[in-house]
Formats: sequence, C-alpha cells, structure tokens
Amino acid sequence: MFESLTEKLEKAISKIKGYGIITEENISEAMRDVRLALLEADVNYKVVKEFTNKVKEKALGEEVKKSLKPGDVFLKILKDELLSLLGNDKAELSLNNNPSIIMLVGLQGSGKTTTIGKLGNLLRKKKSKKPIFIAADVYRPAAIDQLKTIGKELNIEVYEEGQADAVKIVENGVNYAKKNGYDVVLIDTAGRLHVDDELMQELKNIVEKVRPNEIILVIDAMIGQDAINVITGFNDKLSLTGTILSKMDGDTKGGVALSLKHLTGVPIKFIGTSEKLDGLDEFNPERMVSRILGNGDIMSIIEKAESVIDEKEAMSTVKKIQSGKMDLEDFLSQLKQIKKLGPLENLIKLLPGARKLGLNNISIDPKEFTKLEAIISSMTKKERQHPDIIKASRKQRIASGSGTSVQDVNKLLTQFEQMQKMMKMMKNGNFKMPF
Amino acid sequence: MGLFSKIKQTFKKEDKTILTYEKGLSKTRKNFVNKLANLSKEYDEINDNYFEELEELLINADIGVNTVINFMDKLQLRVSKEKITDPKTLTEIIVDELFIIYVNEEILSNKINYNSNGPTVILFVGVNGVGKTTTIAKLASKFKKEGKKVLLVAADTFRAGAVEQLISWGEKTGCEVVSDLNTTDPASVVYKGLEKAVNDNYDMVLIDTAGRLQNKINLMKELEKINSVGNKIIPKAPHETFLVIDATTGQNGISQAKAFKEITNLTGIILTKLDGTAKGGIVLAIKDEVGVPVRYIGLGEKQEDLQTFDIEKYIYGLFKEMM
Ligand SMILES: Nc1nc2c(ncn2[C@@H]2O[C@H](COP(=O)(O)OP(=O)(O)OP(=O)(O)O)[C@@H](O)[C@H]2O)c(=O)[nH]1
Ligand SMILES: Nc1nc2c(ncn2[C@@H]2O[C@H](COP(=O)(O)OP(=O)(O)OP(=O)(O)O)[C@@H](O)[C@H]2O)c(=O)[nH]1
Ligand SMILES: [Mg+2]
Ligand SMILES: [Mg+2]
Repeated sequence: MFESLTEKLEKAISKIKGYGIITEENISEAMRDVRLALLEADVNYKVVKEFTNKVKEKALGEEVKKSLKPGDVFLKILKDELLSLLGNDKAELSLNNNPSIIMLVGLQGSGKTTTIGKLGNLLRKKKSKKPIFIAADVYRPAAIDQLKTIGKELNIEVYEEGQADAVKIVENGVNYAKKNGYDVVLIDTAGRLHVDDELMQELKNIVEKVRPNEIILVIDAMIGQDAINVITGFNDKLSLTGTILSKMDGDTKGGVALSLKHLTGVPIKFIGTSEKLDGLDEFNPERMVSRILGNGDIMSIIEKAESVIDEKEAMSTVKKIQSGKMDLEDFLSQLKQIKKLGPLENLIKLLPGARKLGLNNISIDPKEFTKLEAIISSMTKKERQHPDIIKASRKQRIASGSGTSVQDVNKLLTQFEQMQKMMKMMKNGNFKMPF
Repeated sequence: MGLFSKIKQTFKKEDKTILTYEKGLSKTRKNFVNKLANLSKEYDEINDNYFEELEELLINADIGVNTVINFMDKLQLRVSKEKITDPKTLTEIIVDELFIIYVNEEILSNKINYNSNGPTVILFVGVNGVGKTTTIAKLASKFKKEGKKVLLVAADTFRAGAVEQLISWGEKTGCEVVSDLNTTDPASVVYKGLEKAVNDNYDMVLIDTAGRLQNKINLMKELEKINSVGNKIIPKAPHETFLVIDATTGQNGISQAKAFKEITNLTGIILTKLDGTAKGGIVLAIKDEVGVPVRYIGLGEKQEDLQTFDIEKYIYGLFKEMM
C-alpha cells in the first residue's frame, strides 16, 4: 500500500523540526510529498498546483518563522487550506415548494437511479415527506424496471409512461404529483455524456418546463482527472444546485471532492455509502480531509468489521460505545470478533486519533489474544462490569487464575482504558456512526 | 532501440493476425509522430515548461501517478544523457517509451482463448456501473455475427432490474438468457447456465455478474464461488475473465485490477465509455503495475459500439488535444 500522506508528512515535518526552521528547501521537499499524495487521490492537477503553491507561500511567511514549532504550524496550515477548499457551509436541500422538484443528472452508471431511491427513503423518513418518482430514463434497457423495483421495495409510487418522450413524461408526472398530494417529486433521468448535445438539450427542455428546485449531479467518487470536464460540462448547461458523490464506500480517496467545490462552487450535498437504499449520508468536509490525508477513516473500519462480524452483536456493541457504557465483558466478545478480522494492527492504524494515543505502534500477536481472553475469563462478572474495582489483591488472583502475571493484568487494564478513551473521542468527535 | 525494431522483436514469432496488427500500428504511428512533432514546434528547445506540460498531459489522462513520475524521470535522464535539445527527437522517444511501458517485452494477442472442446465461457467482473451488462450485449452481438451460438447468464441476482436488463439485451441481440428471479445465489444461476450450454451445444457463454467494490470482502468471496463453479462443469472454464473498467476511473483503477486479479484469473480489461472526454490512462498503469492488458474498448451504449484495443491508436488519442 501507499504510504499515507500523514506518514510522508510526518517524515518531512520531523526534518523541519530537526532544522528548527522552515526553509525554502525543506518545505519544497515536504510539498513534493503533498503533491504526490493529492495526485494519487485524484485531486485536479491545477488545484494541486495552486494548493501547493499557496501552502508553501504561507509556510514561508513571517508568522511561521517566528513560531517555536514550525512543523506543527505547517501541518495546521495544510489542514486548514484543505478544509477551506472543501468549504464549511452546510448544504441543505431546498424543499419549500409544493411539490419540490428534484432532478438527478449525470454520466452513465454514476448511481442516479439508486440515489433516487435513497433520497426518497431519506426524505420520507427524516423530513416526513410524501415522495413520488418519475421514470424519465426512456433509453437504457430495463431502466424503468429498475426504478419500479426500487419503488416497490420502498413502497413509493413511480410515475411512468414507458419509452415515451422524456420531457412530456416529466411534465405529466409533475401534474400527476400535484393532483395527488405528493410534496416531493424525484426525477430519474438517463445517463448521458456532457458532450452529447442532443441529450443535454433534452435536460434543458425538462428544466424549462418544470423548473426543478434542485438539479443535482451524481458523480462516481472513483472518477479521475476527467471530473472537471464532466462537472463544468453539466454545470455550464444546467446551473447545478448541488452534487452527490456516490460509491464512497469503496477504497477510493475521492479527491474529486476537493476539486469540485473549489473549481465550480457547487456544493456537495450527500455521499453514497452503499448499494442499499439507506446508504446516503450527509457530506462531512472534516471526514473528507481525514480520508484524503489518510489519517483515520472510521468508515473503512466499520465496513471491514461489518463484512466479518456478526451484525447483531456489532450493533449492540456500537450502541454501548455510543452510550459510553462498554465494559470488559463486551471487550471480551469484541476480542473474539476482532480475531476474525485478521491483523489487528492494520485495523487500529485506521482509527482516528490512534497515532496520538500511541496505539499505532501496538502490535498484538495471536498469542497475546489468547492471553487477554484468559485474563478476562478469570474475572468475576462484577469485575468485568466494573474494571475500576480491580485492585492489587484481585489482580493477584486473576493473574494466577489465568496463568499470567500481574503485569499482564495491568497491561490489559491500561489497554482497555485507552480503548475507552478512544470510544469517548469517537462519541464526541465528528465521526458519525453509519447505523 | 527504435519503436519499429521493438515492435518487430515483440511480434516476430507471431501469426498472421498479428502481422496485420503490426501494419495497422505502423500506419497510425506515422500519423501520430507527425502530429506530436507539430506540437513540438511550439517549443524551440526542451525546457522545464515543456516537461511540465507533458506531465500535466499524462496526469490529466489518468495514467497512474507512479507510472508518470517514473516515466518523466526516465525521459529527463535520457534527455540529459543523450544531450537531446530538439523537441522533435524527443517526440519520437516519448512514443517509444510509452509504448514500451505497455508492451513490456510481451507478446500480446487479442484473440479469444477459445475452448476447442465445448462451450467457451467468459466471465465479466468489475465495480458498480462500469458497463459489464452492456459490454456483454456488445460481445454477444459480435459473436453472433461470427455465426456462433451464444448464451447469456444473468448472475447479477442483487441489483434492481439487472436480470430484466440482460433479458432485454438478449431479445435485442437474439441470444438466449438463463436467469432465475427467485434465487439470490449467483453461483446456482451459473451452474444452471453452464449445464444448459453443454446440453444444448452452445459455442459461447457470457456470464454477467453484479457490480462489486473491490474492498467488500463478502462480495469478493461470492465472486470466488461464482468463479469456481465453471471448472466443475466445463474444464478450464472460465476461459476468459474480463475486468470492465470505466474510462473515467482515476487512480482507483489500479486497486480494482489488483483485487479482482487476486480472486479470478483476469485475462483482460475492457475499457468502456471512451466516447466521452475521459482518456482512461489508468490502463497503462494497470498493465505496468498489475500486468493485465486491454482487450476491447467501449465507445457508446449500442451493440455495435465495441472495438478491439489498439495500443498505438490509443497512445495517439492521449495526445490528440495537444496536437
Ligand atoms: N457500493 C455502492 N454502489 C452504488 C452506490 N450508488 C450506486 N451504486 C451502484 O452503482 C451501479 C449503478 O447505479 P445506478 O443507480 O443504476 O446508476 P445510474 O446512474 O442510474 O445508471 P444509468 O441509468 O445506467 O446511467 C449499481 O450497481 C448500483 O447498485 C453507492 O453509493 N455505493
Ligand atoms: N457512453 C457510454 N456508455 C456506456 C458504455 N458502456 C456502458 N455504458 C452505459 O453505462 C451505464 C451502465 O452500464 P451497465 O452495463 O448497466 O453497467 P454494469 O457494470 O452492468 O452495472 P452494474 O451491474 O449496476 O454494476 C448504462 O447506462 C450503459 O448504457 C460506453 O462504452 N459508452
Ligand atoms: Mg439509471
Ligand atoms: Mg450489470
């Protein structure tokens, strides 16, 4: 795997620290790494260039020179600049009309139809809306079947006229929605290339007829440098009100997010996080920066865990984590589950804040696991639920019961404490659990 | 070593189809080098700006970042070592080096690995929405035109409307489709399909699978199972496994190729959606780093929008806008 940007940076920064000052030379070296990492994350070439120049300039500025910790200041400049690229304003959907009309557009296969389903589901659940879908993809084989299947699963009505004229279908569909008391209309359009004049004109005609409140571009998060052509292509012709990044559950860095806001000013409203109809999350700029910098992406851990771990048990653990009520009993069952996940070190490294807590250097071999299990098994139920009552004599008893030493018991207790600290961080931090 | 000698060396021992391929190559090559030379006229000498513009061009085409960096290093080294100052000479070298990265001393044949003893089975895999199902329709139509009896297997039992989509393509291309709307087990559909292919003497079996992101362990396990069914019914099946990649894909393409290669015996890439503005340069990095060659390209949404991949035409396409 690639070294994460954070790791590269830390190397560069430790050099800066070594010199005690920021010089043109050592900054240039650090910026080379930053540049590479951003390009590897598919951030737009021009944005990368602009960005690295700006950071470099700031880092060489007076303030930094005066600072006692130039390395830290440098890192802060970097993060702040990344965040400012993404923008901090919250981008809500405009839902004040009756009905509010939302149209999704985008390249072929980007995720429009699936996202229509997710939006309908979300708006009904969270905003108590009564949505209807309009099937305006009259080209792709079985596109209408796909939307109908999704509608059936969600019990949301689909307005369709088969392979008729897309503009007419939308017009009729909106009228139908008005008559039948629907307050949100979601229009599924066919995938198209931004350079396909005929099909782009079709979208313009729809816009003219029904004046959607939202025209949202759905973009595949795996997109590379072509993103800028696609986004400006759609935006120039349709004046987009927002974008949705789909397939963010993959292992792509999603650098398109950085280019998007900066180059076009169009906000990112949601991200797609699974193929299922509840896989839509609000966009979170901080999490995106973390993802691109490579320092901790809770999502990827949870996804990895999801695919291996018993779902019910995981859910109950997550609830306990969220309420801050995790005890050693849960820790034991966690350990058993975690064993299935493969090398634990890899997983821990992914945790946000792991580095700060010194957990990134933890190495746990399988034997260690067995030891931990033995120790916890030798505790009484009460001890497991209230680890803080475990003092000297109890430690002695547990150690001899499990064939370990008091040091081992201490070690476990410290580790557990660290884990709890981390749980609290997750609870209070910006990391929303996807459940 | 010049490009021609390289091509000749690479294709020396190959059969007639490859000779025709070579002819095609040299024709487009001439064209390409001429045009790249035109570009070079913009520059009187090779300077940092020249290299920067070249690098931007390569990165913008989504060629892997590592591949580009190595390429630029090699190029700059050659320029200083051979004291090249004339952009025209450099043009020749750029083509050469890019071509070499892709061909890498291998003999590349675009012929399907037909099963001489029963149906030839082709498995299609890839992440979501890249064009697997549509590409199957395109290849089905091509095989059909060649007079073959083609069976399509709808082993995407997950996505809404996926089976209906393949059935609809089956009607359009005049191919039979094996499907089962009542199961969620794709391997069982594949089993059924292969049995039918053997019993009814089909020439080609094209298996459609659900889109899956390569980091989803359980979905990759499912694919492993689908993949292993083939050999139980038809020896050595699947005879080809194509990873479908969308030309808009960025650096993630490398991770896709690596992960799917681990689970299946990937024999080629099909690069779709080249009719847009994306260049799909990540396939150069995939060949360079993972060793899987491109076999076909997709150029639209219709049955006939498929072409055999031609590396030199492709490299030419990368530089189109600069010329
Ligand atoms: N993993 C994952 N898959 C997604 C997500 N969104 C969509 N997909 C999948 O991506 C593929 C394409 O999705 P569609 O909704 O059919 O895309 P579309 O834009 O409507 O496609 P066309 O109508 O053909 O242009 C399907 O396999 C979806 O299940 C997501 O957020 N995560
Ligand atoms: N412009 C263009 N569109 C294409 C090409 N190949 C496929 N498409 C379109 O891309 C979209 C997705 O194609 P599918 O064949 O459904 O993709 P898939 O990989 O089977 O998708 P899932 O099964 O959902 O993972 C459809 O709208 C196709 O019409 C191509 O070469 N060019
Ligand atoms: Mg669709
Ligand atoms: Mg499909």
